[in-house]
Amino acid sequence: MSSLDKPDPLRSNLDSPPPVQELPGANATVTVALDRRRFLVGGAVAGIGGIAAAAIRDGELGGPTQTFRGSVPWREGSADAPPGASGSGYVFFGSAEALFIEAAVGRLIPNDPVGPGAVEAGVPFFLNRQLAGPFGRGDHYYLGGPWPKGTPEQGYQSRFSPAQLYRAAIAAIDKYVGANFNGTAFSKLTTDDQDKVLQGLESGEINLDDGVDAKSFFAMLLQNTKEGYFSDPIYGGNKDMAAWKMIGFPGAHYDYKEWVARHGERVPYPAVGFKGRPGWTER
Amino acid sequence: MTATLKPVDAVLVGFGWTGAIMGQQLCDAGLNVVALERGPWRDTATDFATGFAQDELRYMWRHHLFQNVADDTLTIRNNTNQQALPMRHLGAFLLGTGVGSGGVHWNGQIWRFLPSDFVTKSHNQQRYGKKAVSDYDLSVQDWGITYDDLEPYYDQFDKLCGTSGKAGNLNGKIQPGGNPFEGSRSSEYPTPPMIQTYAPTLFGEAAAELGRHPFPHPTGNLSEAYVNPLGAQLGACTYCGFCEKFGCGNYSKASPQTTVLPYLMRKSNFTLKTECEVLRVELTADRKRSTGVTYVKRGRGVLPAGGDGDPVGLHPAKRASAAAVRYRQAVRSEDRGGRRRQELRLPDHVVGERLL
Repeated sequence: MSSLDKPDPLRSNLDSPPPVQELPGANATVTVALDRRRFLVGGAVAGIGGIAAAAIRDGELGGPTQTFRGSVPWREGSADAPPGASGSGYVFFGSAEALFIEAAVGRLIPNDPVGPGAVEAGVPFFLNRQLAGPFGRGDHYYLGGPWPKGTPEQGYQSRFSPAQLYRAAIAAIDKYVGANFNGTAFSKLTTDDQDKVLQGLESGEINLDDGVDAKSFFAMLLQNTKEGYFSDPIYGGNKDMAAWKMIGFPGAHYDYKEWVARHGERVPYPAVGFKGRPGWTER
Repeated sequence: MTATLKPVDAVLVGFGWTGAIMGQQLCDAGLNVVALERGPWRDTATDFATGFAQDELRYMWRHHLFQNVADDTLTIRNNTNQQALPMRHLGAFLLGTGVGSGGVHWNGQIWRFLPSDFVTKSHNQQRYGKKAVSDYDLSVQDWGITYDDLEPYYDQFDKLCGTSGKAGNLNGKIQPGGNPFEGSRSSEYPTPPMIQTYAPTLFGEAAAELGRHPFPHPTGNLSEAYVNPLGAQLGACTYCGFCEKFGCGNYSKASPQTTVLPYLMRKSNFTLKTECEVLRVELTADRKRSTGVTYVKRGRGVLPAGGDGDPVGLHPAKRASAAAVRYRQAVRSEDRGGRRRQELRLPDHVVGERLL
């Protein structure tokens, strides 16, 4: 029996617990390779435990134990495709937070004749979606104790998840700016003063209250800003692939074989993202 | 509750390069083999297809293919006066997990050790005097096996991968265009070198002008289509540039998925279990022989009760083999490095000497 002969447990019966594919005996036939994402979502829909719902992990650990025997498991339509971002507006940032983020990333990558600024490229939207999702929750961070300060070489040592860090840091920066600039908000400062504050955060010369490490926050903000600016547009930043066009990067292009030996020539391909490019017909 | 499962001939701990190759060799020898892999099943078409493999955010920055430190991390310190603190986010080194493991996201650079690397202690003593090693209390040793002992297996691995390169030393004869300093090869690379891009071309020309010996480095990213001895077919690389930290969507990078699994997964005497993490290798009373492994099911879905459905399983086997990555072996190995362990004030049974 091939794997395709088996009924699809997701479609056939959402009300029973998802079967963990374990077959007894050394000569049993192959078991079905279930799509992890859909499998877990199915479990959550059927209400068989918050365990399954909490375990959705972007195709990584936490899927069901599976046994494979007799063939290479494969099933049509089970690709672990990238999650992307959809919708519009802010779901994570409050209005004061949004003003800070737009002002701050606009100074990290300003809009100028060379290329779009971070705001024009959609970085605030990207950050907002990232912080509202698995990254913001610290899905890939170890967040347990102990929490001594640590050395710079020991890296990130905050007890905050990225979303918690952004929230705490923006509040602490607003507090600092209010106390040092006559009650003004960061977004209302002159760009020179904004740069001074950002430089103070970067160097650690500014001490923030409420357990926020200024250097850690600045490093994360800068890194995430670059991510939003240059990553595929499906994640909400790099609007119109403008950052790629600026640096001459063709994007998710597949084949450069005929160009490898043509040293110094400009590859003429227009930038393309996972969802194609302008001029392509969407189906 | 621990369930004792049906005994097999051999159980493999981890299913990356080492586990896949050992599985193939043991199954071909007629043994019943079970491989236990901590992470999920992964394959080219489903997990890193060409339509979305080149995702820098997901694979490089969000660590999609790597071990997640939220589940399991290490503590790190730079010297014994520091407090070791958790690695809260992956940084300098990236641990693989899942089927294929590091063999999925590696860069495909296939180097052999030099003959002198196998005799580090005697080689350096010969060159720099006995004191060069003893005076500094260096922990270098000779391996106990030589390059010549391993050469047939290097050759086998090259043929498995279809390695692209140019031999510099073929059966003791130096070849133009290859690495003249390498150990002797019994055969030429299975496929020719990759086409050189701009930067290495300029570097090669500059090095040659200075009388050096530039050569194209050997790669597991193939310059042309290749069918390996197991019948697995690899395609020519398209030079997309997304190799290390990424899975190859084009079947051009040698990995367990592209070289071994199409063959091994079809063998009736092979079983793979995913989301199963081995806790310990069980030993006989005299601790000389392994009798199986105890593992825990990591799967967080709903598990049926009884038998193989128990969350902890004991898999009896005539032999158990740790195919896990080096630091994983270290924490599971019997520690023989008493002195070094005391210097580092490590607890017992934590780190095997010289493994880390």
